[in-house]
Amino acid sequence: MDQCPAVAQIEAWLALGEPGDAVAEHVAGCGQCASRAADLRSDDRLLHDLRRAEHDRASVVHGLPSIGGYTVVDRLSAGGQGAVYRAIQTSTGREVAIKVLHESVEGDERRQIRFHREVALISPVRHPGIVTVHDRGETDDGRAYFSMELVSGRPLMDHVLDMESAGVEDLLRLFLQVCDAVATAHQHGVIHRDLKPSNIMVDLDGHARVLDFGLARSIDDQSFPAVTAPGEFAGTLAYASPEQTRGVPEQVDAMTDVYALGHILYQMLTEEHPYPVDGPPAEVIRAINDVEPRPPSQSARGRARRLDTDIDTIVLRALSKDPARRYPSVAQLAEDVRRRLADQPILSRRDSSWYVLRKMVRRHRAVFAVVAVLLTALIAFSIAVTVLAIDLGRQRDSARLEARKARGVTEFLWGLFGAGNPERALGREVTMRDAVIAASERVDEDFPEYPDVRGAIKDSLGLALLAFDDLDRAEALLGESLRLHLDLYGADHPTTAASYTNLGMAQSARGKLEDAERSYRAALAIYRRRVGDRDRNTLAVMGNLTGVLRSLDRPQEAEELARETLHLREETLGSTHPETFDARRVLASILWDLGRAPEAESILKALLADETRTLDESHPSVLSTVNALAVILATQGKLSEAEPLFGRAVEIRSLVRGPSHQSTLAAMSNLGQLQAELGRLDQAEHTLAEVVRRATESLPPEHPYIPYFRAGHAAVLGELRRFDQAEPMLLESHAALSASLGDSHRWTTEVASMLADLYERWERPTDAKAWRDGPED
Amino acid sequence: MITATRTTSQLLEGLLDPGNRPVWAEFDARYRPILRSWSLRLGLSEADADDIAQETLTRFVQDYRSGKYDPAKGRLRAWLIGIARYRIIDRRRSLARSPARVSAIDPVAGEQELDRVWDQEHRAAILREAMDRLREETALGQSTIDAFVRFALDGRSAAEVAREIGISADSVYAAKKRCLCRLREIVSMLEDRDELPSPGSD
Repeated sequence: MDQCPAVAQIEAWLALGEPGDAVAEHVAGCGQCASRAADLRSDDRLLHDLRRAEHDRASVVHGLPSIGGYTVVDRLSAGGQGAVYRAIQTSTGREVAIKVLHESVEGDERRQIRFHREVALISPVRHPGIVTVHDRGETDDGRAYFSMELVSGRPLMDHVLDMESAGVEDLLRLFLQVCDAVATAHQHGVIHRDLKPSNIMVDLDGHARVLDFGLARSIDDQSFPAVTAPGEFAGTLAYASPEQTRGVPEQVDAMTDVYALGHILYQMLTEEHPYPVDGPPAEVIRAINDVEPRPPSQSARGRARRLDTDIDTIVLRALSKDPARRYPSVAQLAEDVRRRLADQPILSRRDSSWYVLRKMVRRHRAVFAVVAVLLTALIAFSIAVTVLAIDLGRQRDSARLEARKARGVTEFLWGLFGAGNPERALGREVTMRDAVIAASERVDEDFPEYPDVRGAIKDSLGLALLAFDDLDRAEALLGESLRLHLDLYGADHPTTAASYTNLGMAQSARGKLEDAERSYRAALAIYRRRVGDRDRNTLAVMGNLTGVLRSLDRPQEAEELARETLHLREETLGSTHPETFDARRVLASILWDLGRAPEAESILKALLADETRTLDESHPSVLSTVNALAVILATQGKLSEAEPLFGRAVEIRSLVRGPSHQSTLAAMSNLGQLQAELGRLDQAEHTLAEVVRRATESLPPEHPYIPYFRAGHAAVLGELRRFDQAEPMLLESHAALSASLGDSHRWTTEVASMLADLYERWERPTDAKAWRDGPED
Repeated sequence: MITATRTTSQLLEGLLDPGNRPVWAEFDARYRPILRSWSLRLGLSEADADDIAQETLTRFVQDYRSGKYDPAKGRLRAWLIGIARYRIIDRRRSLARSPARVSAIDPVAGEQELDRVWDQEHRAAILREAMDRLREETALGQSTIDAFVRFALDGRSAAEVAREIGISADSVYAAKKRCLCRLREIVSMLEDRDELPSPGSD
């Protein structure tokens, strides 16, 4: 498009346009139109807020409506479409809930007929999960209302947020109740069309009850109201399906309810929406149509960490943008949830043999323990391939090709074992690393016509090799994957960015820091453009890049990046998320690198206080902070402040790894040395004697820790002038260390100088000199 | 209905004088609706929201006159939320003893959530006031404002609105532009008015 488009065209593009269309291209290249578009966007936002404010005024100011046959008692809640009142039916005296819609149906016969028909359809349906509808009519001022059973309870999400101790299974069971209610309504020909958590109440017995079947929407002229209608803000729009946003009534059917149920389940599990729904309507509509939800298990919130790929599969299938790809009915969605609860293979992927294998593994854990590590890697990259296949499936719309590809990938995975049966692999000396190397050599041959699959597999295998420290091969493989992805998706695609990131990790592990920096920067630029600063991928790369800058000895740049990372994590994850804690610790270490110990110290102190408040003492994050702070304090000479931290490190280690684990003993030994330096010799002697006792008990007798700890103990005895006791211990320790580690080892020479110190204190200068100059022959 | 416009600082200064009824009325008019809709937004019933707004305003003025609230040291918002929150918790405790409640939302959300809802309600209050002021503006002309409301707020088509009011569709677009421009000015003036300019505020 050479000429500037009309304002109306730009508006249309902002509301619904595709990224690749002619207006978009023009606006990208035309300063005048770009600023016009920016103005329009900000107008949109202001208008959106205005409508909402005006609408609230209406609903907040409204008094109680007057309805024939009822005495309205009070208002229970208000929402985008109407308000709910508690009322008493005059003829029967029973208490009911009445929903009064904002919009009037007066004078519109078609709407009236539809509204009445929906009430007639749902009224006779009796199901424990469906709130019974009694009656319908018009208020004295002409607004439509319907009366229903009064349910004591609260909206679904309030209940879910309070179920802190509940597991994923409890949530799935609650969700099943909702599905069953909706499925029953569908059998009676009633589609809800407006399912959302506020339309689902959980009663005092913990049962889910669905409100407003078919009713709320029936008065609208279209299946979904024009999004600019007053009062239609995100609360309602948020749960709309893609076909609802297109406003084609014929396309809205049971699939729309399946989609909303997917959205609700997503929110129950992660406490967040599958895509942003807070913006102005045009942006929300775009998100509904274009933003692929990330798998719920990758969310940072809710119970995400406890979710598995089955749940991801169920939720994402229900949330497919294309109705044809969703579950064909709510009953089938419910069936898969039931299967997941019974730990049976879900139907959505029954045909995939590796998937059945995984289920088998889950039930026979012990047998598969040996191949567990291998399976983990397989699962990881199967997901990558599956997700990729789904992506590609949408782009090319050729399901058969995808099925063939998926089969090929499955067979390839089986090939990793060298046989169809993983149990056979148990008896063979197939190490996982060998299997991965063998697989990496076959990728090109096995998938000659699918560069996308080659790329995904090489990425996964490369990461596996990186985990095995096979760095050369890992880098080569990840480099190949990057080239494939560059060819396939170009230099501005998230998949390419992921490849850059993986390659960067391999380069960084190999010490090729400049290369790693380049890779990370490339990844970061793409992520920032494509998914924004707040995406977890972006934040992860920023973290990696910070590490490389530190290693490159460019602490100023590292500091800047660390501060940005910290800021973004605080904003997106909150200030007490473990990943935010990590970012704070990283910043402190960088400040320490820069010689700004007091700043680092105060950050770590605040951090430790927060961690102590919010995390379990055994959380690795706590130990890292305790260690870092202890070292910073000690090196600044603040020994007495450092001591309790060393003590705490010992406690944490014995809690997490056991009282006699090497790392616990090493920490205890450090504590003892520090106590000695502080002049508390008796206490130090006690601590160090305990270290020796535990070490002798738990370590193999030839372990060099034993003589080394004994020497430490003896040195303190020497300071206590218990020379007769200390001398033989030091001599024996020296002999043992010299035999196991050699005379030149740091520990051996350290013990030699302890002997020299001892003799000096004992006033035996000749012996002292002999040990000072070198050990006796 | 354009009211006299005093900045928040001026209002606070005037509040120190117990006899200054107009200032109290203006302070009340500015913050009662926000407190009320904030409480409603947190799931309280209208009756409860009215009580919370009343108790909070009364308590605030007491605290302020006794010197407990120093505008130079903290945000007014934080102080008001602090008082209101305490009262909501109180109310919730007594509600807990009568569990059969319909749609009672957990009223004590996290602090960030309370702040966020407050800011949202404050903005909504400013926008409503701005709309009221716009409607009073004679300089724009009634048909311009009508066209703006029907077209931009009610979401009707430009052609339809043009027909109803008897102007051209281009004029409808122009009306939207002019009203938005004027609204932005009013909103920014009202935002400045509600800011506390002292160093401890933001």
